[in-house]
Amino acid sequence: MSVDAVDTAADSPAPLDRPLRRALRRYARNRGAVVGAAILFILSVISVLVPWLAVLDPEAVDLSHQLQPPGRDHWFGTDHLGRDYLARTIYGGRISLAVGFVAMLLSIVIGTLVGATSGFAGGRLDNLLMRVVDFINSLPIFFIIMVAQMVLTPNIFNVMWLIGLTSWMAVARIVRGEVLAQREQDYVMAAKAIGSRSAYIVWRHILPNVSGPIIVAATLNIAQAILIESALSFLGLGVQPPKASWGNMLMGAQTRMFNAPWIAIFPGLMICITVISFNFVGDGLRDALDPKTGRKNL
Amino acid sequence: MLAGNMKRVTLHGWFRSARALPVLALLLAAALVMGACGSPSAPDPGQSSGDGQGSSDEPTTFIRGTVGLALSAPFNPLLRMGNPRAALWSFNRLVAYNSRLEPVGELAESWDVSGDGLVYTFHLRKDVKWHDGAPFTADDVIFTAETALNEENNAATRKYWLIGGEPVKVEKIDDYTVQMTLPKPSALFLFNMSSWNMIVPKHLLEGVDLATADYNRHPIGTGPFKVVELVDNQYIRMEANPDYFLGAPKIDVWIDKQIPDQNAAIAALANGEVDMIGIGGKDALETVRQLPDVEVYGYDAGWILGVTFKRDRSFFDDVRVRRALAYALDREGMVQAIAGDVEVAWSLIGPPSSWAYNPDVPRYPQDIEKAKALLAEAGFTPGSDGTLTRDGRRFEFTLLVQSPATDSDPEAFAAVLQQAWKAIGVDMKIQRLDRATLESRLFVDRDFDAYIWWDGYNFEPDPSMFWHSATNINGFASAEIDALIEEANANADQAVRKAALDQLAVKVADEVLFIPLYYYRGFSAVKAYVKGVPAPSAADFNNSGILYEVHKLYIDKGK
Amino acid sequence: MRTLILRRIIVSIPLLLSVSLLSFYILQSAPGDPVAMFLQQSFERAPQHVVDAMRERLGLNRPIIIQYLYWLREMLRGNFGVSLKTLEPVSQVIMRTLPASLLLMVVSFAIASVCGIALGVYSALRPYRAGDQILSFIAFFGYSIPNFWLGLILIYVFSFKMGWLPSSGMVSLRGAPDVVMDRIAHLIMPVATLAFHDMVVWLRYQRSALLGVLGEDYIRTAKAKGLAQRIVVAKHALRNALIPVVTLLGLSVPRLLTGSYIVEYVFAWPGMGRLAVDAIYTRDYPVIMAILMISAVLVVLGNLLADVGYALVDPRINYGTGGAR
Repeated sequence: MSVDAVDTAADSPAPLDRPLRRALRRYARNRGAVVGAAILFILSVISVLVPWLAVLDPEAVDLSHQLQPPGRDHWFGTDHLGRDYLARTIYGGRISLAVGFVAMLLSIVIGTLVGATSGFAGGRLDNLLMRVVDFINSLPIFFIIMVAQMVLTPNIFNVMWLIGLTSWMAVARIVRGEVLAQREQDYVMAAKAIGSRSAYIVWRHILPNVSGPIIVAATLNIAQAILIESALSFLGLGVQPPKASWGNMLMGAQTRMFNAPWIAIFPGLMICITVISFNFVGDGLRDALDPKTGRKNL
Repeated sequence: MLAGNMKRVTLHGWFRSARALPVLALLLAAALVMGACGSPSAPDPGQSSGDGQGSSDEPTTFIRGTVGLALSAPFNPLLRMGNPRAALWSFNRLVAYNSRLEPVGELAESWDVSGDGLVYTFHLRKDVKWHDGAPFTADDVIFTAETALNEENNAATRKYWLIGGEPVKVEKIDDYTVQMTLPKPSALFLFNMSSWNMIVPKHLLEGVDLATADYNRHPIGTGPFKVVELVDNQYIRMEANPDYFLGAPKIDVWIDKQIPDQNAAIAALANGEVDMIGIGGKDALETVRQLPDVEVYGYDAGWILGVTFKRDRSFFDDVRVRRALAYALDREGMVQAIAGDVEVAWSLIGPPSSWAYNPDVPRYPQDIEKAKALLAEAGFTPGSDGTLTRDGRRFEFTLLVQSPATDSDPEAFAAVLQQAWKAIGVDMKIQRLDRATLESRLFVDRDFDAYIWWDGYNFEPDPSMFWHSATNINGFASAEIDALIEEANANADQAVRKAALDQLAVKVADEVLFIPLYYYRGFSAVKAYVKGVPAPSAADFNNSGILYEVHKLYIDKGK
Repeated sequence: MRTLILRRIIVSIPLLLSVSLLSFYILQSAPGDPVAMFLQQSFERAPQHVVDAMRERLGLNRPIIIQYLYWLREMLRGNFGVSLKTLEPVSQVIMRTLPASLLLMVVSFAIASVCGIALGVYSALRPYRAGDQILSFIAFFGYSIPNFWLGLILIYVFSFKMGWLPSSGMVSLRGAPDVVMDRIAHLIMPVATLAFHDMVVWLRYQRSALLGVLGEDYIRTAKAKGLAQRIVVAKHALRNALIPVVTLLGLSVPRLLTGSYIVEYVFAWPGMGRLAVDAIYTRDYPVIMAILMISAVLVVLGNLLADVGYALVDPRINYGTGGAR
């Protein structure tokens, strides 16, 4: 945590636009982060728009064109049922990104709530909540999700919230730490003195301070969720057929990659590119939003 | 230059400054030592210092890669049938079937049958010894039967000693003669004495708790290979039994190695880590066919892939609906595309090489218009999203498929079926379930609309499991079907049996109680230097594919 | 220091209890009957009364809470029960896979941490220059690549196409001329797959920790005093940069055993991760429970280790009595 600790030197909330612009400038200097953001932007646009383009059907079976190598008709080739692999890769990306985002949102919401409650309430409640964090941290999450999937019958929505439910602990720690650090600050005391409610204080004063680390954690959580989903789908426990997700496509590719390597390459590469982009963006954001690491660099 | 220098200095500094380091180093060292000492014993290289197959006095090793097959204790043929494949080369049964599907003696030299078909007298071989040197006698057969029949033992082979639910009476005439009396005539009895019905040694298992016996990890049999080492989920190492009564094996060491993933198995075959693997799936088959120095053998097996419906779910009670579903499929096209070189199934009992196969059953060539007409006749009208509805209910159901599974064909078919049925307005969803969940849904809760999986019939078919009302789970059992099954099973006369089974097949096909897709064919890919592989036979009659005379296999790499 | 350790241990008892209770409950509510699976023969299920008799014998017909208490009592005595798949003592089953897991994980852990820390230091000393940028990219790549995919690709290239390395298992069953070389050959691909990912974590951690420290005022003061860069780095920066790394070390401990399930699966490595996945599929509850408990204990131990290491490395941290000299 100490690595991620934010600069707490904000004596008075500065006008928002200047640090923001400075952060943006810092971000723009990080080439990897910019490229990553661009890739993610393109991927997201394609993912959102593809159903309206309606030129690609990821589920249309064409048994006369099985395992076609990439070519003019099928840019990414076809899979063992003659389904267009480009379409499946795009639709698979939709699912992978959706899992990432939903799991991330859930983890941020839970993490912030728990962290803020814990930090403000202090005492027993704080202790209890931190024990819950320890508790979840000491579970082998992947196995727990596996078993939970079996209990609940495997489907992609379960994957989303199960991942979200088991990945909020870092966020909670960040928020709690910040709340603890800020709560004795003069302005918080002052706000309390004039009768502001804790929730308001958290929302108005503390969250803006801690938004940097939260955003970074969020980006990394997306990356992590996409990887977990792909591993689960690889074991057959994620998305249900005929829907595709990248992990699921890799599972199907496993037995066929010796005669059709591209069906293993494309989804794996897409996972890589996406996760790497999120990690780059997260890294860029960290540098941009944390003045401390930035300063040394100036 | 500077960079290199820098790095050394900083690392040096790092070591010096880290007071925690000794602790960490100690931990690391401890773990390393543990890992090194405790690792499973490597195979003893002492006896083979070279490649292992070069000169004649070095032992020859044959390694078979088994894909997706759980290889774990208990290795006791009484407790597990399919699991310890090693049973096939470590143990023997009284009877085996030859490549013309005729019963021949294995542990029994010959047998006589009484005129009423009720009393079988087996004359046992006198030259058989257990791997520990003890002689094999009638006592072992009697012990095997009694142990299997004792319900408390939960023996897997119990069913082989039951005819219509009643036990076979097994008596010793002398040390090498056993008489078995059947409660009623049965066509299946001799088959029961073959299959997985291995004879186990009395002198090692008498008075021992079967479930926890040490024997389960140290099996002793009569077969061509002796088990010398069992490492769960890794391998079974066996050595030739020079006293094998059918002749000493030509291979010195036989290893079954578990490989969970087909790819790894193919790679292992390609680079010579293993000498033989089983192959499932068209694409994998194509890959191994392209490998140099590999022979691929195919054989028929009694499995049939198909879709089972539950009568009281969705609209499956209506025969017109089921026929419409059948007409919607291009069965030939999809089987050819997904499974490749196999026989399309129309009839319940196959494969076509089996005597019990009946080709004259109603067939359903693809006819979308007919399918739609049938559904319209049954009162369905298209709903707003194109899905058919009747009485306000959408025609939708969920197809269950096992996943993960070593065999990806069922899931591929599921995707194709979904598209085909969508074309006639039926909304089918696919749900993957792991094996334990699937089985509990099917057999315990009986909670399913439809599932796609394998249905198995031997070359001596017994359809009671899937179709008799006593055990049937799909709800289509009827007095008529029960009667046909009972008639088929109670008669030793093949003609009578065939007549009854033919009628059953016609009934199932006519009313589409099951949509068969294709008859399984097993494939084995073997390195070309492995010789003495028996010709692929008509059917997988010994559950062993091409490996039914393993003592005759040998390795000839030439020179 | 002693109080710290003692307090952490006491606090972890209710934690471990709740882990075990929750796991036990979730496992038991998964559909599927291990006994029926155990007794089943290919597609034929054992008759229900046979299954029931076996359940009775294994004590599986009692209410879950009673089963749990029974399990708890036995576990505290060091008895993890019998595997429902093989009826062997669970400890035996675990001990069979433990060495394989340890070997794989310790080797990849050692390689990953040494390379990762070294490269991290290298990176931090030349931030944002070409070397750092390249390492950075490789690092992100390693962190983002799904390790099962990397495994598949390695098998495709080095086993199938080139035929250089064995694709699975940990020993050549044919017997190799040199046992050690054989073991190394089997280790290369799984270790590479695992270590590539872990190395990156080390690299990033070490880099950012060192960067953070180098930006501190006291370092700048030291530099301003005219101390040579290498002395500053060696004497002041690295020591402080070690703190998060020690934390990471502690946090890595639990991964030692079960962190490699999917790599073990792809390479048929007979370790505990694969055992756990198999046990989940066959509903072998006693085995899963044992693995879950071992891994939870390791997490607790790892955290403790991290704290202790933390205290040892950073004299500023004082846990009440004694402190760190």
